[in-house]
Amino acid sequence: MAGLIQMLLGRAGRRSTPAVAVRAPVRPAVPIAPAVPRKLRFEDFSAGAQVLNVLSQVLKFEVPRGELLELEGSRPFRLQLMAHLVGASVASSAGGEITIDFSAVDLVQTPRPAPTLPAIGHPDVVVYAVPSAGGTRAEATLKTVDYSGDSVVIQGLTPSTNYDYDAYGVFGLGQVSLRAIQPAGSDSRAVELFNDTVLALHETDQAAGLTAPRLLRGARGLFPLGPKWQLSIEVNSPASVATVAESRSIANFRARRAAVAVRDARGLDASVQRRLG
Amino acid sequence: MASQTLRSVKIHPDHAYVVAKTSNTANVRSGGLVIEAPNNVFLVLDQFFAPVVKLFTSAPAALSASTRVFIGKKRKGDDTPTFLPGVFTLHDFSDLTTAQQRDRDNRDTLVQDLGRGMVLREGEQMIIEFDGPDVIDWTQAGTAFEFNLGWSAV
Repeated sequence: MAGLIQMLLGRAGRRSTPAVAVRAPVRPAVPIAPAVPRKLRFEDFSAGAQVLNVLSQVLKFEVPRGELLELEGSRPFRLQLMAHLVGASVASSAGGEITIDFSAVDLVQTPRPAPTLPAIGHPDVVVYAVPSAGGTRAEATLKTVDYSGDSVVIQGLTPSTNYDYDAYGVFGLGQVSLRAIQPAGSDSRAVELFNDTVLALHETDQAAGLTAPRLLRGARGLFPLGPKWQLSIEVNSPASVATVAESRSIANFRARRAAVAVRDARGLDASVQRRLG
Repeated sequence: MASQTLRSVKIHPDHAYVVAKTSNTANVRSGGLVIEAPNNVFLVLDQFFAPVVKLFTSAPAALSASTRVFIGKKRKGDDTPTFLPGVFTLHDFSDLTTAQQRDRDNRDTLVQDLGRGMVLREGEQMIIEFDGPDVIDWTQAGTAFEFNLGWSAV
């Protein structure tokens, strides 16, 4: 598992002298501290600019200047994205309930363990409701979650009152891809690291080691990202993807990072590009 | 120097080596477990950490999966612990029962890379702290935080 960081460090301990003296190429960057593990969480990503029904960036992680990040492609990652539905001035029933329609995005059941309803803290659906006239915004108790009918009923609201709500649910429509992007003005370059349908990503048991998704491509299972490169999560879907932590979306990527002194920025970008290829 | 080969000791919240088991403060890195190497004992933590974790709040409800776990070492005379670079969340653990977490098939998703291992000489402490929105109640039935340390007599 020798990655780019390892290569830049050189072959420590292996001191065989070549038969013919070869002038070593200048390393484009030199690690100045040992590589340490770095887990990219959902909170580490910032929002992209999603365009509905176009493959576009929903979340991005930008590698800081002076740092090299290597994604561990052979280790499982987790990714659960939530569709965001907004309701404004929706009247609750006489029983204090509101039915939320997820049919536009296809509500999907993940294999994650769910509580017995009615409950809050459901892995697939989170709803926050606030009376439209003002009041306390709180997580609503879920009464039913109907995956085949794509609807969710929340309960415990004040009867016959208008509510605004933010509903987040695991969705199944569209495709998702992970790309490494080197922004260079209008001339950015991107390498796709992973792609799948949103449905397959969400229906897969990501907690089980045998089925969890992996990147698994490229040089030796390690995917380097240079300084200012982005790990971009892109989605082509009719669903508006939530980028806020209250949606309880999950991202969990195993990586290693090393502080580097960059001598040749273009050269480093080129070797990152070559290794991603 | 260790005079014997290492053998394994299973640490859990009620183990004799756990000298403090405190609840954390919500949204602050705090609380947790303190493991101290007793006299004449030498403990070794591997870089690749494979605990079995199931933690609850006093409700009881499962601890928020976004809780982060920090592992550090505090020597005698240290004001603050030195934390290992690898920090992990409970996302990997929260969807699996403890029995599933012991399943070899799930090892790949559960093993956490701490970046470095750790050696505890006698009197030195391993500090496990938590940072998340929920407060741990260590008295709840079914609570687990188990892992192995290498053990040797000095």
